[in-house]
Amino acid sequence: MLNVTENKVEGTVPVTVLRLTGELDASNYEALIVQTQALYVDGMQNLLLDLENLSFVSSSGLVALHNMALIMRGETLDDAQEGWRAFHAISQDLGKASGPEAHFKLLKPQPMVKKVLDTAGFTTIMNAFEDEATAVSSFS
Amino acid sequence: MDTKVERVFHHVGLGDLSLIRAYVRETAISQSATATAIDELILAVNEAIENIIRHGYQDNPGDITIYVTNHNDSVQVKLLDNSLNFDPTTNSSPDMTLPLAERPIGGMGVHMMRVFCDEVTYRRTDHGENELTLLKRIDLGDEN
Repeated sequence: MLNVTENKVEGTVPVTVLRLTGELDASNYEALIVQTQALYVDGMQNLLLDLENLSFVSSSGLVALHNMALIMRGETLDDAQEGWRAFHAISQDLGKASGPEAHFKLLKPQPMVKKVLDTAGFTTIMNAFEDEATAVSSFS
Repeated sequence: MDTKVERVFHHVGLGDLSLIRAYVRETAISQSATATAIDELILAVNEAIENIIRHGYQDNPGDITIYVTNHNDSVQVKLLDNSLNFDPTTNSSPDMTLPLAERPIGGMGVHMMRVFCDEVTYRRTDHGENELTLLKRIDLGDEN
């Protein structure tokens, strides 16, 4: 099961914080993508994903994170399952851009979740912070 | 002494993943197993189950039998299903040394199984079932 709460905080710029509680897997990852898309359409420009209370993430969850990163760039995928195309898009942009995602960041991943992120190479393209204030102020 | 438990999950769908993970967590008890080792095994089992549901049963309800055997130095999880002939071990893992743009599409779930388990083996049984076996070696104090 996965519970998602949303709140907005003010740093240098407005930041939406989505806090995940529970487990992110194939049963619920698409709903998270849909929610992110809806928030983006509604004006969200910076997203901090709080993983402090997320105890499990599967490869499907990684697809969600990929899609969320793309959404925050203003890109979308027709098929939410085309996760690896998200990888390619991000990586190609990284060739031109300067470093990890600017509008999508992670907060306090638990050790096993971080291990999964590291295994997938996500932490090279998505910054993960241990402190919320630092994370929020990193958006510009 | 080795212990072995078995349970059949009927009409399994993606909504049952959490239940299955909890079952494996309860039964994969080895006196020397670290929490990390069990977490890694459960992730691998989850990836296997997701593959069975999506690619084997193609999101139609199907049965999966799970055997958990606790050895002194390892935990073995065997998954049996009667879906389409599907051998996940033939999927190549993405080359993680390649830049992301050059990696082939798919294979992340199988990659996770290989990274977090010591052995991943598949066979088609005489009864036409897919049998996937995941083995995780447990080392006392192997917190990494």
